[in-house]
Amino acid sequence: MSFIEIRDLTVAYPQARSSNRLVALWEVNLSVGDGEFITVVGPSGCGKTTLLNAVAGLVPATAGEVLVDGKRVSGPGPERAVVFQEYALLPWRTAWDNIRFGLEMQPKLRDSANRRIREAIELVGLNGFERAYPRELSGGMRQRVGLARALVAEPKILLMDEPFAAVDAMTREVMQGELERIVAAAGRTVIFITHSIDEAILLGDRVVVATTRPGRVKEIVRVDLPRPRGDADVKGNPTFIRTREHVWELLRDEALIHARGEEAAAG
Amino acid sequence: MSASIPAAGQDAYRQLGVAPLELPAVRGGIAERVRERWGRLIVVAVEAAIFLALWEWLTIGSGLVNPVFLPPPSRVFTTLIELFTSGTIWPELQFSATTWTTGFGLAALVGVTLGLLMGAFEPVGRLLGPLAWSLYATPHISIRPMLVIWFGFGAAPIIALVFVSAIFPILLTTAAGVRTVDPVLLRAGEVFGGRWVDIQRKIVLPSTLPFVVTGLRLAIPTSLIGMLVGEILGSGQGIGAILALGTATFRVDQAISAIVILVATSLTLLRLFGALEHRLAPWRHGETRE
Repeated sequence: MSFIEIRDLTVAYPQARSSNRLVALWEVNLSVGDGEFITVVGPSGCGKTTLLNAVAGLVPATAGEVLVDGKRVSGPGPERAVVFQEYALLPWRTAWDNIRFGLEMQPKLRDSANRRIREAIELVGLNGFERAYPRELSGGMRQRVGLARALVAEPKILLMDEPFAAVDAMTREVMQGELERIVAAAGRTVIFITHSIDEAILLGDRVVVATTRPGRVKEIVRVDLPRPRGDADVKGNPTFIRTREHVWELLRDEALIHARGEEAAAG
Repeated sequence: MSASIPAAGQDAYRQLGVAPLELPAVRGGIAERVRERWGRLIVVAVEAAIFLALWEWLTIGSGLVNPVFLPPPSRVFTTLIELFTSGTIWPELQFSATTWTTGFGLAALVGVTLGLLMGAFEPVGRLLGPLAWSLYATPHISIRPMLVIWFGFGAAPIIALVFVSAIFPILLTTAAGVRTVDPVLLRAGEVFGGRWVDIQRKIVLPSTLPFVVTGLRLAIPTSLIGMLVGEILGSGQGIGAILALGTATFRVDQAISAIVILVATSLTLLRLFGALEHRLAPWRHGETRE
């Protein structure tokens, strides 16, 4: 059995002022191997974040289940950590203390805390910024803090929800390269949500293409590109271009359906 | 997680054009801020000078206004000095300070506690919220006569009035602060293993603290009004009594002196709490890099 098993996962939310429920995910099935880097790409509002939250244990499954290492997910756990799109750093804490937050609720790690924080800072390249507050850092640096906080307790699984969506294009490319290096060095299993096709192919061992709402798995695309892929040439590689075209075609149909849905809703 | 590749990190800084120790937190240079500050002070000083000159001229210079009804600022100034040097004002100031501090302190204690409970437990909020808002909307002065029946004369009814006029801004702002904690921070708290208590202590409380100070700041003018009304209406003590007595005996200069003292106190307290607010939550005041 795979490391993460998502079986017939359906998630529906109650809606305000309506007895109907909003179905965000519909019978999603996905198996993720140990150490695998999975990227999920899909139109906006397709339930990508819901999928991540369900694996994180923040959102309960309406039907179906998520298994991690054979155990059913019923809430958050120390073997899973999340990197948030909005960074979610505590503004009154320094970078160091924000990273500490990732392990301070685990009594077992108290003795090794300082060493672990030090290592996480080295790993993500935050040397010299330990005492900076989030407001003093650029978006890219803030997300490094978010990443270090997620890594500090050495979780087996890293769940990333469009972590680079809020940083500028330049920083984004730098961060993608860094992430590939960090994940390779730390050996984590990753589920990475994005709406960028390039990012999905650049980072993923497999790309999960999701359908428009309710979110389902449309197709899983294997990316046969050697690592590391962080250099600029990879985007000129024929395999990259072919994969990109394939994913784009899958998504175009979904985008059209979604746009029609929006029009209908607006009209 | 033993791999250390700080070189790659350093490269990233270079690409981003940011040196590791460059942390500009405040917009604008110090010189610029000093100049701006002095500029504002000069404007206020000129404004005050014109106002006082006009007032002086109206009463003494032109004879348009009888100085018995409205004494000139120079007269108010000497009366103010006299009140302090003769020592007559000290017991009254002490009385006012004690009653205000007691009432305000109690209101802060009860208000913050109830506010936190209202914010943290929805049923408590639903139960007390509408009640608190209704009482907040009630003119507190209206209960002054009844306070005599309940608490008699002396300091007690005034403390009660200060308490009532201070507690609602504190309580309502605190409750609002608890409710406006960034939900993504709460989610982060859950992800990293926080139990309910941890989340309250490490996330909800620190992010509510600046709201508490805001509530206290909002309660300063309202509580000073409460104190003044309490003292004017039949206490015979405190700064309000000087005001009442001065007016009753045609010593308008004394009444205005009392008002000057009150304004100075109110402004000082507001400044103090404003600075505290800024100190506690610099991230709420736009000092950011982006």
